[in-house]
Amino acid sequence: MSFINNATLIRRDILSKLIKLQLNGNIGETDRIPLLIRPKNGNASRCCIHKDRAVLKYKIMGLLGFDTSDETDELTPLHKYFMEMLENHRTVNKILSVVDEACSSCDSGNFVVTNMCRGCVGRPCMLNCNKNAIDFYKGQAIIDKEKCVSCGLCQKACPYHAIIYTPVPCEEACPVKAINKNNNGKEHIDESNCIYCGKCTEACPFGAIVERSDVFLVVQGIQKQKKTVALVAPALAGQFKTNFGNIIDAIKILGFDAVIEVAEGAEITTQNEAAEWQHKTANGQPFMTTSCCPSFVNLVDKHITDLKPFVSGTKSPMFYSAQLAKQEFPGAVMVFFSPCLAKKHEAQQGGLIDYVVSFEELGAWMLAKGIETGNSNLPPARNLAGCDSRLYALAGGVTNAVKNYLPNNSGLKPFNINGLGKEEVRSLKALTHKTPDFNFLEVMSCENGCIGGCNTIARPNIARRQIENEMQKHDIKKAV
Amino acid sequence: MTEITICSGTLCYIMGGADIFEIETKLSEMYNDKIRIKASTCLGFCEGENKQNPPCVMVGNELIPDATIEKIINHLKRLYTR
Repeated sequence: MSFINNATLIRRDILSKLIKLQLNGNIGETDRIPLLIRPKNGNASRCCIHKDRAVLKYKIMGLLGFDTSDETDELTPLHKYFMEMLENHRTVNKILSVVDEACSSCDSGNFVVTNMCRGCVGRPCMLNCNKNAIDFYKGQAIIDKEKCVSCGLCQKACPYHAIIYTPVPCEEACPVKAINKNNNGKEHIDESNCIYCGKCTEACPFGAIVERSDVFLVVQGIQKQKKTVALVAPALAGQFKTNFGNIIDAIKILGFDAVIEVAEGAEITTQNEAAEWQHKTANGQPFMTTSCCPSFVNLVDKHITDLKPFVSGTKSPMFYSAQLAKQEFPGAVMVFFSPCLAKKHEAQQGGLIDYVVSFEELGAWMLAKGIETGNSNLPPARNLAGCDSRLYALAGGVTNAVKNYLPNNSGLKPFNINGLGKEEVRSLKALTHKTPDFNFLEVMSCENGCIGGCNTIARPNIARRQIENEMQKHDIKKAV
Repeated sequence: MTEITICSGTLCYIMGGADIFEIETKLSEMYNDKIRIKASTCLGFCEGENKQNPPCVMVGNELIPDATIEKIINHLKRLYTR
């Protein structure tokens, strides 16, 4: 996860306010939320509170699964959208939308000369520019955008640090160039290229990229007394300052009939992954990659198809857990509690999970319902999963589990890609042209693994320590 | 020994409190034996007449509302350079 910023806090605030209205049967009050967050005579983040309120309105629409193109009448009040979504059980496939009103159309000028330029005699910026793009005007350097190729030489050459790089944060963060400006200069996500890594949502300082939330449909199901089962990702264990057992307890108080740890499904992933790797490498395949990070699987499907035969066919822990849960609780609504939005996409494709609720949405829901996590010393839910399966939450966790499962390591030579950026995508593309010196490749789209997911609450290093402590405290069995 | 108590009630925790635990990695070494960081269940500052903005942190007996790591460090500096 990225640094804390106000855009994140506002999103959490909106979410909890929306859920609270729903819980109290006050959906008609939805239109008040922008006013509550930006009250009269209060401070504004943008030009004025009115612009802020308009942006908040569109962000709420985005959370409810509507984007600007769904707005046929600008006077349609927010609560109508909320009601339509709940009444018609409206689900859309689109996960991310850019709120045009919020997008600041960041200037992609790239290199800019600031007024720190002293118009020196040496003029190394001008002399070192291979494209003749720098000129001097009234004693200061200016860059001709037409000629500039953004090589950055002038920036390096300037002894006064007068030339800065101005990024477009979302475009910079996207590892696959799936987000670009449309004709109006606003950002637009190309779904055919998007791998749902969520990096743009974290990167945008205006919070302009909004993820559709399904938490309201889950709340509605529970209100209607539908049998609902929570499947919780291993990374959840580190998300609140309390024992995992207390977090699970809080989920039960929200109204879930049962809570199942997805670490149970991870046991099956480990076994299948190990068997598949043994089989494939014995048959001459040089290496195999993991497949539990859905964002990486999307990357291969959409951008590096040559790598596809090397990706393991083993399903993710979420898949196996859902299968087990379907047997145990037939007919129940299955809800996966997730650290990231890529899982939402995986669930939509897979069909076994009905809804995905992010850790952030869980926090907002607890807040709306006034639930505090206790500090009693509860053990985890059913304690059916081993230590290695719980470590799936951390980068290197899958490798660790497979390695421990294989007899005497069986010649496993692992390599980990911890976080997917543009650089990592390039090296993955090159991978198919050579024989690497590893034979097992774990790829996690987020740095630190799932505890670094875009929808987490706790800092990754804090979450990691908490998960490790938890295992010591409850003396969880080492291996399967 | 000064105790830094980070409110981990649901409101404080999700509205920025979770990020304050990172303070451990940002404190100068001189505080190593002077400070203890702990989490607490809801400290109760989010309700009542004197309602404070989250996240709330106690440094010793003093309340820091709307806390940030920077605010806490500045407070510690004042405490220890007196």
